Amino acid sequence: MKNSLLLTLVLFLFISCTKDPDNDNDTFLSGNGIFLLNEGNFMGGNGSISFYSYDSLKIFNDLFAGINGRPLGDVPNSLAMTGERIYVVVNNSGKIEVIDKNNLESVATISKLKAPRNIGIISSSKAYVTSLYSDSITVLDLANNSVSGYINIKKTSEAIAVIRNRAYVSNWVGGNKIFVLDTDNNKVIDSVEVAMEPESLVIDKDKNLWVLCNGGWKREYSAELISVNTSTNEIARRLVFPDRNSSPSCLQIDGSGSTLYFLSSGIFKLKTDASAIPLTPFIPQGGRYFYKLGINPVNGDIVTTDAADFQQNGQLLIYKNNGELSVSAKAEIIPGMMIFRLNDDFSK
Amino acid sequence: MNNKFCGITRKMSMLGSFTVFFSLFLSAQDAFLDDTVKINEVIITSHKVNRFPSGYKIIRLDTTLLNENSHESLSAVLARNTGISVKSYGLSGLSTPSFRGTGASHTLIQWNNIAINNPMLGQSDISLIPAGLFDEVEILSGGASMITGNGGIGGTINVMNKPSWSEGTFIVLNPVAGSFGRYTGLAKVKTGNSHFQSVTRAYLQYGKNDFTYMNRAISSIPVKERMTNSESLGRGLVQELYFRRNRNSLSARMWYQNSDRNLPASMLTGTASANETQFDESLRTVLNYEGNKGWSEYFLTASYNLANLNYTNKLASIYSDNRSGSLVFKAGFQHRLNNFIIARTILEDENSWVSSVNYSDDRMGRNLASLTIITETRSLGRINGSLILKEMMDQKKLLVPDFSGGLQYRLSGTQNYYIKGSYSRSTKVPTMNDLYWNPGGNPDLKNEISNGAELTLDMVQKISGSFSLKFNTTLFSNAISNLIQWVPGPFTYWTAENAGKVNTMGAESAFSAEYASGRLSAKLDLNYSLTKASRTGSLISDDDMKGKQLIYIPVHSANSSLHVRYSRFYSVLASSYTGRRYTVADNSSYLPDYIINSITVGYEIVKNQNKYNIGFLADNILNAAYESVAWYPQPGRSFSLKINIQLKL
Repeated sequence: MKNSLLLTLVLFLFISCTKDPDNDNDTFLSGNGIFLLNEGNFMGGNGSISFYSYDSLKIFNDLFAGINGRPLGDVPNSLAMTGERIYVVVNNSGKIEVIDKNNLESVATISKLKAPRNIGIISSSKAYVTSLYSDSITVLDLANNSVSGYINIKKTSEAIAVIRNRAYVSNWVGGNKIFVLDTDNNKVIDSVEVAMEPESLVIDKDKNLWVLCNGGWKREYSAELISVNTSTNEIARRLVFPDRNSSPSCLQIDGSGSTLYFLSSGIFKLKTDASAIPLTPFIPQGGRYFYKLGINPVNGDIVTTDAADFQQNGQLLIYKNNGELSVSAKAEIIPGMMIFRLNDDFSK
Repeated sequence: MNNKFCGITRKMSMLGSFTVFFSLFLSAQDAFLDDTVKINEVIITSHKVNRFPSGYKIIRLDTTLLNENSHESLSAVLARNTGISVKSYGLSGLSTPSFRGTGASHTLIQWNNIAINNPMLGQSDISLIPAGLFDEVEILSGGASMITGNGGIGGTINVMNKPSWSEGTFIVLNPVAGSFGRYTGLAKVKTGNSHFQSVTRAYLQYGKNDFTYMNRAISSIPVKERMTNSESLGRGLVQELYFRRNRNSLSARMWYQNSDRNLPASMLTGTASANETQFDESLRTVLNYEGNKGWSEYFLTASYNLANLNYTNKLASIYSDNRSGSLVFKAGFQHRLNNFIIARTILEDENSWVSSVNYSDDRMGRNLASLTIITETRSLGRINGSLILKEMMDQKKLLVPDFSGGLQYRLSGTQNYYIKGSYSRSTKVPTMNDLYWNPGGNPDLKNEISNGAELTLDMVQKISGSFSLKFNTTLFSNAISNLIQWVPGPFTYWTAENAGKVNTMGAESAFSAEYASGRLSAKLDLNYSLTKASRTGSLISDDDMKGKQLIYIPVHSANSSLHVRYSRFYSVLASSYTGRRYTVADNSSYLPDYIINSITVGYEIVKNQNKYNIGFLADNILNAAYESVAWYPQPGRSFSLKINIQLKL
């Protein structure tokens, strides 16, 4: 018995660690395509950028970390492109990563921002950034990649849309207003009371502002789709969702500025002159979880993301404008907002 | 995820650690001398009721270990000395335990057999439990958890205060000063005789916790930064009163504690820190009577507990004030039916309530009652067994009964070699947050159900009068169904759902060698755990998580310690290894494994019945850079000076 006990001691396991094989050495390809933000898990620090290439019909994942040797940050929420730069708003890291749109190399990091959400490009040298927690809009100097000032709107902010020398900013969580900012003077000049929790904004071909109000999480109010005349800042039309339980999000508009799209357990589509909210989705969600939405401004592709269970890698889904699914590509965790990089040679 | 920490250096350091331990151990054997000075032990007596029947694995962390680590939290003690996986957000951050791949809310935390899990979250922050305030920690896995409480489908950690009936008055003063502005002070006054004992313990802890670390989130080359917003202040007081007459005893225990701390930001948020703070305050009381008559024993226990948790996030303008409480009654009766069979009945009623701004009603309450019947055989030759039946009533709803069966077989008629096995079916009711959080709480949730089995080989071998060996190894398997998870719903918030199944299986091994002769004594402990935990059920199709290791559950973990005492000198060499922990569900990224080595050297003078002990601790001596939770750095090398003075008045 003594021997058997000593034998068990000898058999006592010792540990070593081995390293996983390196990831595929995929390279980022230039050309026409879609930059896709993957939000990653909250506090997981695994937000990332993917690129779907219209040329190779392949998706390239985890580009930022692969190229820059560091993580993108925690919960990249939105992105915008102007000139040669892409501005990625990283919400829970309180920063904006400025990157080169051709190679995704980091150009600068604008940090010390309070819960930034979305960015509105005002000009080649100025941008506004909304905030989930701050009562101010942050003004960015894009020439120096720095903060140049703040505009106190006394409310938190979410979506932003820019037209002429006006920026429209929504007060989302618990709010019901759109603030109108003069972009020449960086001042609040007006506000529009819309409906509960204006979540997303777009501008149509007639320069009307469309506001998607999701009604609030308590479901005390119906969601509404509201049109605001940007010349008078007055409400032009209100389309009330027939089902109180509808919780729409992510309003988008096509390249012609005449067709609106949004998510509400499926993809809905309606003309800007429609008289009512459609009762059924243009593209049903099925067993997926449609999370964010984008419309190719050139060919009208309807691009959405399936966030699966928000814990594992989701998918980028591209539907033709007739609703036919054409691409299903594995992205990363919680694929979210996107922008299109389409060169002049991109064909419809 | 950065894999730079994983590599040859790590393997070398671990190999080195074990080599040092073994060589020290072997050389110690050559140096044994005749003049014995044994490691002092505090003799504690245990209650006769509530002990554990045959077939179950029970681990005890004794007074000596807790005294050695009196300046540490329970979190650090468990992480360094057991196979329990501990997830920690840093020196002043939240810390939760995980048994054999289950979740933190599956672990029942008890104080003297009374549940102290926060009823909102169903879990307990074990970084707030100072090791020095307690005499013993019982660790129960699998079906053994059904004996002392309800809902510990992963396991139970029971911190205990126990009487020592020695005569006289003792005072213990235990100040510790360490790196990163960390100070702790523990004072204990014990007085009494063979019929009455009073023990008072007071605890004070302050930590600036401003260690430096390498931030790998902001640059391709890690940047050295200093931890900010990590200050913590904790205070605690435990008062115990014990009365004993004949074979009956009455005890009253009170534990007050508060903790005021800043919660450090992760590397990712950096200067965007929300300056989060948290204030925890709790008052716990237990009144217990135990009696004996003939072949019967019984106990009556009443406990009243209050807890406040105030969380502040200035950036997000969150000021969350949460209050909870519980009133618990327990009664147990044990009777020896004959020379071989003992029957035991335990009745428990726990009435808990929560007052939170996050619930739709100002105050939400629940009542959970249970009846547990345990039948066991003793002295029945080599084979003994036990059967546990438990019926729970959640509010006014009777649940499907739980059960567990255990068997124990003694391999040798002369040696303490045993094979133990058990199978258990146990239930955990949803937490109050799962049911009532607004928005997303789901009152229609089903209970989580665990079906688990374990098989243990337990061997104790006395080689000689001065040398003994212990070894045990356990194989375990557990399947949890109706797993509660928060998942995205159709609205802008998440909801609690029964979202799948989890299977865990693995092995635990422990080896211990003890030697004492002359002025030399030594003890070597080695522990190893293998845990495979994966999801098997899902709410979505094409689930990439199926079969993948659950996040933050290391497949491999191990620890070792070597205590050596020669005359008045003593040293402790300790090493703990935590294997790779995946941080995303599809296992595509992970935190690398790490090893923490520490050494303590000290000198103790015993004069009359007074003891004067001074010790010096160097922790994480190889300055390993590691994270228990991704992006929350842990401290590097640190030093502490520990003084322990025990005076007999």
